[in-house]
Amino acid sequence: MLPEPILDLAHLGHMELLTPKPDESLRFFIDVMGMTESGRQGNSVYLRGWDDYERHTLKLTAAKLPGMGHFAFRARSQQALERRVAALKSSGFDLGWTDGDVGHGPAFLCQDPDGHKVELYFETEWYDPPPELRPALKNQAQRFPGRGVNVRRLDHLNCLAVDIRANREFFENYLGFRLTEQIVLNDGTEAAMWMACSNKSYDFAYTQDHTGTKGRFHHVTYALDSRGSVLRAADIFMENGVFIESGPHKHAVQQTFFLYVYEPGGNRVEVANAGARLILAPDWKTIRWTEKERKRGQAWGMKTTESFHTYGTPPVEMPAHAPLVEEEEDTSLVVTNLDSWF
Amino acid sequence: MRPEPNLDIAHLGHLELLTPKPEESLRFFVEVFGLTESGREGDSVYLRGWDDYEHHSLKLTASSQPGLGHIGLRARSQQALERRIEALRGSGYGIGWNEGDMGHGPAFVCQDPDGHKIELYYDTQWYVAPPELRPALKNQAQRFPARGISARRLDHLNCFAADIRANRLFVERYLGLRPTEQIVLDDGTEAAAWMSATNKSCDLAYTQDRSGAAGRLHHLAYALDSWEEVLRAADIYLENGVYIEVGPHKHAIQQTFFLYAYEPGGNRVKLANEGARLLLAPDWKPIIWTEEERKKGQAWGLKTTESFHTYGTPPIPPGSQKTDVVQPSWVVG
Repeated sequence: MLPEPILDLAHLGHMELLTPKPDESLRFFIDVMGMTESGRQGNSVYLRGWDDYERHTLKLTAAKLPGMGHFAFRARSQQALERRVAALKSSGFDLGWTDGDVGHGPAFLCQDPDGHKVELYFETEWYDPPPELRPALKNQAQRFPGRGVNVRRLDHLNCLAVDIRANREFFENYLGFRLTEQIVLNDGTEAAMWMACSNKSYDFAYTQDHTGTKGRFHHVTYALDSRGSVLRAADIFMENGVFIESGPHKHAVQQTFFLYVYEPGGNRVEVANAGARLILAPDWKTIRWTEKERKRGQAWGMKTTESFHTYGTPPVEMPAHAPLVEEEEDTSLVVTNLDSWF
Repeated sequence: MRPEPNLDIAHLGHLELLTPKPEESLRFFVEVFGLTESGREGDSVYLRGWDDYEHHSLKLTASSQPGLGHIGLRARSQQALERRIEALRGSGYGIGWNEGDMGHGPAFVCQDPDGHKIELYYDTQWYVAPPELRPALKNQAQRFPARGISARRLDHLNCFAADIRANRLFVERYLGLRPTEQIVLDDGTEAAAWMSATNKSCDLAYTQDRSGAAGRLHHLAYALDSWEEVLRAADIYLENGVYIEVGPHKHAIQQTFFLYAYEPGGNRVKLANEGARLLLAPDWKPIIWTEEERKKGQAWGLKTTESFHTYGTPPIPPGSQKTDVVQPSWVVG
């Protein structure tokens, strides 16, 4: 009999995004993305999509450089949280308890092998809209804003990491995530991973950082209801002078309809729609993509722009001596040939 | 500290639909609905949506009357299945093991208080597409059929039941599904319950049956990717002479964009899209709708047609309906 899955984490709850241009980033997330402010404290503004049930899903914090402050998973119960903390204690990845933050109670902080800070918490504040933001239907957290892209809810985020395998094992063993899809190179190196704790096809992803820099961030994604909404978002980004890096197009991996832009602080932001796709199988078998398969580009053949594979936040110079993968006998594997890995 | 949620059931796996017009029903599900046949045995044909990962999600069985044969719920693990059986032991709801069926291994059968048969199983057969149905992308179970409506995957089903509270409690206590939304009348009677084992807002719903009958089916639902596809489905029904009962419109409850039709055997089938809506909160608080709120109609005000509150399968023979039935003024979502 297979061991039972760990189901202690419920979903990605929020993330902290760092921006060197706090005013412009805030305007972007409110006016263009259509998010709603739900609090301020110190150098941070707390933001939410209209369908997010918790107080916030994005903590926008002023900083010298763009990047990610931390990301946070909500545990399924207090008991589940304590089980994860017990598993992490003395693992070397544990950092300890914090007092919590605007919107949620005490959180246990740990870090993955690449140094990204990960918070686990259970106690949370359900969003209570002010009168002017009360929805027409009582099964909705907040009135539909009717502003800009109107992003619905936080969907997932993607970090860069030097050693994907080490990070996969950390999230599998200590936090109980399931690997839904991955990219494995010809030499056996894991180049990317998509992991889920919910019925979403992923709650977060990691892709290889070819610069050898640790702790960087690739993108944060908010969900939209349809491909049509993603196309409309492209027009709205265009009207607002927002740089569109890639898309709209359909990913081969996870099949999400995507659109990537840079917010004013320099962080990559995605809006996406997965249709009615859910991972319902409790024993889902990981989909493994090979180098050859990934060279076909995105679902309909689009070759992803080069920056998608190298740019992250905080930005770093691509060292001239650092190829995207170790060069070996297969000379097709040079930097410029690595189209569309994720 | 609150007790931990019971997560032993993973999702709605399949259901058996009974039809008195097996040939016509099969043509409907394959040609109009866009499902794919994946097996035949005895009086049954096994069908699937292109994104269903198991062998089938619909078992269509010839029968003298339309209705529901059984519901299949897949457990999260073998251990989880055994825990559910242990919980059902001595409850009066357990019936016993069967040897399984095409596509899945041994299943434990129980029945809810209204008499609907529910199968619990874990061992299942993942669908393996024949060469002509292999998808272009390896993370997809089957090639997109591009036939008729091309329904994506089984989403939920809705059963009629005389006593909603008893059925809700059964599903909650013995199977661990969580109520996500409910209708509670002014006198405290529960009139409908939507229950979920997943991040979907509903795997299994119950609606009050005022006819005096037991064990009836209200509808089954398959998911589509967008509102636009639901609208396209309405056109496809129209072209094929399929009776559209209500919609397209948006439900107030669960906010699903819906379209209800009758398949040739008489069963109500629904197509639905809920956008990117998911219930992610592990401690979701059930939304309770009152009579007054339900009188506002569906989301944008559509008053649901009368038959939606009374018609189920098997249908009630004319003249045998309870005569004291007062049709509700509220609208089931």
